[in-house]
Amino acid sequence: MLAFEIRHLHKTYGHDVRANDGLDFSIETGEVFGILGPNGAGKSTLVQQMVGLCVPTSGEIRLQGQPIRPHDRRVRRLVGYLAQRPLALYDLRAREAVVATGRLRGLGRPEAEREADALLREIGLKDRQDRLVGNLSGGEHRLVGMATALIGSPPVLILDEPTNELDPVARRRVWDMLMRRRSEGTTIILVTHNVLEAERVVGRVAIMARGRIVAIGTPGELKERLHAQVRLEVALRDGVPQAEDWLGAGRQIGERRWSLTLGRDRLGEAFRRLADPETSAEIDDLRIASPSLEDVYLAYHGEEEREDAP
Amino acid sequence: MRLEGTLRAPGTLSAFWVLLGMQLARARRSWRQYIIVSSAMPSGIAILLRAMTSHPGEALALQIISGNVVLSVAITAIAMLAQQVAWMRQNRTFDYYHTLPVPNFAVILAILVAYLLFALPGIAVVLTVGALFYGVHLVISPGILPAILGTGVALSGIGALLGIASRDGELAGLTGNLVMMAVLFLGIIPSGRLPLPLVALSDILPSTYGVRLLLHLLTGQASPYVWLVDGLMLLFFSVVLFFAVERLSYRVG
Ligand SMILES: Nc1ncnc2c1ncn2[C@@H]1O[C@H](COP(=O)(O)OP(=O)(O)O)[C@@H](O)[C@H]1O
Ligand SMILES: [Mg+2]
Repeated sequence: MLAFEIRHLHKTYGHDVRANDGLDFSIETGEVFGILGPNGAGKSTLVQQMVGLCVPTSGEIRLQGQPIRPHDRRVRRLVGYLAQRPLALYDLRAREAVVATGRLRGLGRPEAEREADALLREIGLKDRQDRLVGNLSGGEHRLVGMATALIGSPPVLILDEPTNELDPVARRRVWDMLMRRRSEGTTIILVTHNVLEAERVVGRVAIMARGRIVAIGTPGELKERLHAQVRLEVALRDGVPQAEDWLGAGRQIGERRWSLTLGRDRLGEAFRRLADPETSAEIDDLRIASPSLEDVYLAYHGEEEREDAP
Repeated sequence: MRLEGTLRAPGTLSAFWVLLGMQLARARRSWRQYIIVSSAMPSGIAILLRAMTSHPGEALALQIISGNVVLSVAITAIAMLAQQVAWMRQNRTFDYYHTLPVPNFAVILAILVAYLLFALPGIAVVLTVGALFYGVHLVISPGILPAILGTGVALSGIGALLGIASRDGELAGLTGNLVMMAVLFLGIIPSGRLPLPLVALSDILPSTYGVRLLLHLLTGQASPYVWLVDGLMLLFFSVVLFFAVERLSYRVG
């Protein structure tokens, strides 16, 4: 069954900000669907409409075949939502915020407390559960928001940048939590910038730019479109000047680490260069890989930027 | 496949209690300030006016005490709540509630009732100070509770509307203070002594009816007629303002 169907969706702010400019896609029940794209692409606008916080200018969004309305009651019962803005419950302690949200989803007090404790443990906040939300760090604040989205086990989760501001350990915990919810059959729609991490979890992704979807499919399918390419990761030794002439065409991904996406036809030439004794003496580490979801993302992003150029 | 899954929602009453608890959590850190803020100015004004009049009659004394009790409500319900609501709109607190399966009127009622409760200690202080300094006997009857409740809900309706209409908390605080001043003047000065345009203004301020009802209650003279006129007016303002807030806080872009 389809969880969401989005048809001819347009959302314009004011006269000319086309935040969503003709979106058409659907999401299956039980699917984990990623939404990627640069800042201002219209991702938050899209998910806000999916939870009824904002009304489409034209077009339609259906949940389980029924069009959703502003503040739709079905949506509120079915969907756990994490907004991009931090949770506002500053005067509550972390655990209180999670318990209260559970009770507002219809759990009895003991049930809400039990679930809140389990969630806070799972998310790694048990030792900070009695701090006021307003006093938590950005990342901790985000984790409390995540726990409020999950309590009551809503069958659909819509999460706007759930791993933003998190340290690597917390990020990993959140992805693991999402994996567990996925295996329980929860439908998950998530907006994210962590392209590499999302690849582990999402079944399909849509890449958005300037209010449109520029690519949609499984990470495998999207990578297939770059199939004629190979990714070369080169790390240079300390003190070696950058080999501007050929690494300059790539993307710097670390202090002295470069990533080059090459057509297979140019691979021979690259290998001849690497085999050159002078060059190989400068190289500390070398890796050859197929393109990652991040490469796909950057490839589409790059295209968009070129279109922008005069 | 669990789309049909849990289709639960809390009962309205239990949702209200949870929401009220969430609002009252604000007082946990700042209850001392709330008591001081809601009692200092009205008590101070009552004492000041006593010092400036040599022999205030009982009628004037009661007018001053009732007016200051309502001022105490206005401080939390208008000035403080307007800022709080503006702030809630700015940081999208309403979005959080609007994605949970609870009715919006329970959310709004919890907010208004919480700010009414914040006024209670101040009211007790003003009544005590009034009785001591003016040497009048105040009749404390159960009718005072619905009178304060009606005044409180109506005034917090005004406060919440100011908060919704204001661009930010600072502006809401300023307009809230302005309206509070109006409540103060029109509540303490007997309407017989007001110039005509101000009489018209006092007619459309719910605090006027709250002061009048309270005045009669504190002298033990609240007849059914008084309840019918002033009580009904308060009820009318409470209901109209409540639903205006409920609707307007619920708009979507
Ligand atoms: N409430 C609003 N009013 C006016 N413009 C807005 C509003 N919300 C978002 N926008 C604009 O719409 C575009 C898309 O925003 P958003 O959906 O937040 O993007 P994303 O989440 O992909 O970063 C941006 O150009 C943003 O400035
Ligand atoms: Mg966003």
